[in-house]
Amino acid sequence: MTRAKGWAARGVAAVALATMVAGCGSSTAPSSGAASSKPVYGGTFRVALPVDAGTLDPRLSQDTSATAVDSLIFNGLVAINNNLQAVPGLATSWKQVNPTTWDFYLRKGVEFSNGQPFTSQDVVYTFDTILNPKFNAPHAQLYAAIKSVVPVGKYEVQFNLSEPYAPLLSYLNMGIVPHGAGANANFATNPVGTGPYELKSWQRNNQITLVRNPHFYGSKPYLSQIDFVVMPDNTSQVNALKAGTLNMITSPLPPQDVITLEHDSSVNVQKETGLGIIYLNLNLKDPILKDLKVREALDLLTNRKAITQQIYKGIDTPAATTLIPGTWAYDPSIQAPAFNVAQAKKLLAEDGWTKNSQGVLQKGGKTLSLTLSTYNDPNRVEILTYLQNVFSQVGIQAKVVQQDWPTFIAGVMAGHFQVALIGWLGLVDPDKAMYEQFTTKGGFNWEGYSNPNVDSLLQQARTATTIAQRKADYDQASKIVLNDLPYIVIADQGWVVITGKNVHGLQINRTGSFRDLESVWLSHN
Amino acid sequence: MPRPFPWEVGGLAGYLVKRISLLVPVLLGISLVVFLLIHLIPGNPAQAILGTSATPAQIARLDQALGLNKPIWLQFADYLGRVLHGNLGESISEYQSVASLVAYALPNTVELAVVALVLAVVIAVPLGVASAVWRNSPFDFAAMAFAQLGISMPVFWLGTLFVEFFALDLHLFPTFGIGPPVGQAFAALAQGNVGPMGSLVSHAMLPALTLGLTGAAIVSRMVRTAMIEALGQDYVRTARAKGATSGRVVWRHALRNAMLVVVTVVGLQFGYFLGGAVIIESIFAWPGIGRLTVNAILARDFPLVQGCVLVIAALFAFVNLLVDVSYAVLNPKIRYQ
Repeated sequence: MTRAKGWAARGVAAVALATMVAGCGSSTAPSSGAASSKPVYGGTFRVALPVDAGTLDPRLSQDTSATAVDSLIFNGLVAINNNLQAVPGLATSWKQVNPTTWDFYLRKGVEFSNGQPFTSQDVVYTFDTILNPKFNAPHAQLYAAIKSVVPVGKYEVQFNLSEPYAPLLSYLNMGIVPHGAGANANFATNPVGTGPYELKSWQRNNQITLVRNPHFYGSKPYLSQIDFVVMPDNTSQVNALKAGTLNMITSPLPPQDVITLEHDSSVNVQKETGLGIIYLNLNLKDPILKDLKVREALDLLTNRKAITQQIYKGIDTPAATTLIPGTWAYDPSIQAPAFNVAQAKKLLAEDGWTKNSQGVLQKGGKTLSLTLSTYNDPNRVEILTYLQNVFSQVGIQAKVVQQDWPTFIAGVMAGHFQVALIGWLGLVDPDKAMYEQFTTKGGFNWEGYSNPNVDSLLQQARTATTIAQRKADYDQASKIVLNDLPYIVIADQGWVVITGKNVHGLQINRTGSFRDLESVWLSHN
Repeated sequence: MPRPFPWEVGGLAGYLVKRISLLVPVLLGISLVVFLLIHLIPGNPAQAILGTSATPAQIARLDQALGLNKPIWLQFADYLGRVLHGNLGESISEYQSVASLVAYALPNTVELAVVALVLAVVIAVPLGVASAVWRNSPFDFAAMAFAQLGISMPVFWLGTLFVEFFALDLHLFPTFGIGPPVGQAFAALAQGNVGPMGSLVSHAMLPALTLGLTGAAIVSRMVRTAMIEALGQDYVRTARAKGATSGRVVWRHALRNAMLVVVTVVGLQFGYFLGGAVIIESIFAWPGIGRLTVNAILARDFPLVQGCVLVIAALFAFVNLLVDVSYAVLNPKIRYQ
C-alpha cells in the first residue's frame, strides 16, 4: 500500500499543530561516523519532506514541513531544547518582573539575511502582526494573553500580559520576522530571517533550497546547501536514502520500513519519543458514551501494548496521558489500566448490559453499537479494525469509518462522532496538551468534557510561577482526566531520523526542528 | 451575398470553429460541476489554513476575507468573471497565484506525458502489428500476455519494482525527481551540450516507463485487433495479388487503415497522461499537475482545484480535437462538415 503510506504522511503533516522551534538538543544522542574524523565544510545535504510547506512565513505556517525549514531560516526569542525548556535564542536572557510582565534582553549585532539589523522593533512587529485579527495567524490564540509588546530601547522588549500566563516562554520560539515584512506581499514565499540559512529557491511540490546566510551571527554552518525534497511516497524516500540521493529521512515513516532499515548497515537509525500522541476521543454527549462504565470498559479493551508493538513495531510507545515522557511535566506513576477483557465484561454486566439473541449488548432497548472513525492513515485504520475485533468479543458492535482529513476533522469539530481516533503533534508545553482540550470552554474540547476541578487546576497551572507548581497541577489534572475518560490516550508517537553513513554530528531533536543541521557535516563530498 | 459566419464555412476551418466553440459550454459545465462538488464536500479552506487550533471566530473571519460567506451562486459568478478575464485567482493554501502554480506543474506533466506516450507507441505498435501478423502463434500469446499483465499490474507496484531494479540494482536511472527544465535542456542541446537533455530523459525514464507500459498494453491490444481486421480486407488481398511485398502490405496498406483506431486510443491515453498520473507523480516525487490537484483537494483550496481541473479539461478537449483533425490526414476520404 505504497500510495496509502504517502497519503498517511500527508495526513500526519496536515494534522500538525506545529510550532516554530529552533531547538538545540541537550541530550547526547548518538552521532554517526568516526569520532576522530575532523569536520569538513561544504556539500549539499538532501532531506525528504512528505509534503511541501504551505508558507514559509513562521507567523502563518502550521505544517510540520514549514516548521522544519523555518527552523533553519529563523530564530525565536528563545529556543526549545530536547527537554522542552526555553534556552536563549535572539534573547540572551529574560526576567519575569511581575506575574504579568516579562522583560527580554536581545542579542546585539544580529542581522537578517538581507542585511537589515535586528532590533526590538522586529520583535514588536512580529507579535503585533500575529495578534492582529486581520492577519489570520493560525496560532494567534497561543499568544492571546499578550496585551502589548513594547520596545525598551533598541535591545530590550517588554511583554505585558492581561493575566499571568506561564506557558508563554514555550511559545516564544516563534520566528522573528523583520520589521515591515508585511509590506512585502511575497514574504510567505521569500522569507527573510536571522537563522543560519536563507532561502535560495522554492519550486512548489518539488524542492526548497537553502544556502548559508552570510549575515548569520553564529558560527558558520558546515553544509553549504540544504535541499528539502518534497517526496510524498515513503517507499521512495527509503529507496532514495539507500541510493545515496538523500542524506536523511524522518518521521512519519512506515514502521515496517524503519525496522528493515535498522538492520541495514548503510544507514543510521535514531529514535526518540516525539511530541505527539494518538488517542480515542469519546463524545460525552453521546447517549451511550456519556455512561462512565462504558468508557471504562472501552479503556480496559484498548490493548495499548498490542497496538504499539504490532502496528507501530515499538516505535510508538503505550501512553496514559497527554503529558510527554521525558519532559518536566510527565509523571510516570500515572498509568492506564492493563488490557483486561474479563474486567470489561464484568463492568458492562454490572452496568446492566446484557447480550441479545445476536450476541450484541443491549440495555433498555438500546444496543451497544459504536462508530469508530479516523482519516485515511493505514496504521490508524488498522488500530480501529483491531479495536472493532476486540470490542466484538464482549458484544460491542463497532463500525469503522475512514474519511479524508478535512472531512473527518470537520465532523469531529462539529461534534458529529462517537469514537474518533486522532493525534496531537507539537505538544511543546503541557498547557498545549491539556488546556484547550479539557477545560469546559476549551477550543478543542470537541468531546464536551466538563469537570470544575480540571478547569481550576489547568487555570491555576497557567498562573503558577514555578515549574514545580505547574507540574503538580498538570499531574493532578491528568489523574482526574484518566478517571473521567474523555480521552483514551493510546500511544506517544516516536520520532525517527534515518541518515546515510556519511552524515556526521547529528543530534536527534524530538521537537521536529531541523536546526541541528547547522552542526552536521558530510564526509566524502 | 452576405459573408457566411465562420461556422457556416465547410472544411477544416469551419469544423475547427465549430469544435472550439463547443468547448465553451463543455468547460463551463465542468467548472460548474467541480465548483459544486468541492463546495458540497465537508471541510472548508479556512479550516484547512488555520488548522485545528483555530477558534470558530478566527474561521468566520477568514471565511469572510476569502468571500466564502457569500451565497454559493455569487461565489460561482465571481469565479466565472475572474476566469473570463484570464485570472484563475489566488491559491488559498499556497500563497501564490493559481496561474503560477499551474505554469510550473503543467510543463512537468506534459514532459512526462510526452515521454510516456513515445515509449507507449514505440512498444505498442510493433508489438500489436507483429501479434496480428503472427496471430495465434507463441509470439502472439506472449505479447498479449504481456499486455494483460501491463493492464493488470498496479502502477505503484510496477514503479517500485522499476526503482528497485533499474535504479538501486543497476544504477541506470535516478530513483526520483525531475531533471532540468525542458526549455533549458533544449537550449543547451542547441549549443551542442547534451548533458541537460540527458539528465532530463534519464529522470523521466522510470516514471514514463511505468506510465507508458500501461498505455502500451492497452494500445498494443487495439493495434492487434485493428490490424487483424485490416489484414482481412479486400484491398489487402488486392495488394498481395499485385505482388506487393509482405512488409509493404502490412506497413503501408493495413497499418495505415488501422491507424484510425490506434490514433483514437493513443489520443485518449495522452489525455489520460496529461490529467496527471498522481500515483506515479507521488512515487517519483514528480511535481506535476496531478499531485497539485490532489493536494489542493485535501487542503480544500477551492481556487486551485478549479484552476487545475479547468486546465486539465481544456487540455483533454484540445487533444481530442487534434485526434479528430488527424483523421483527415490519415484517411483522405474523411471530410469535415
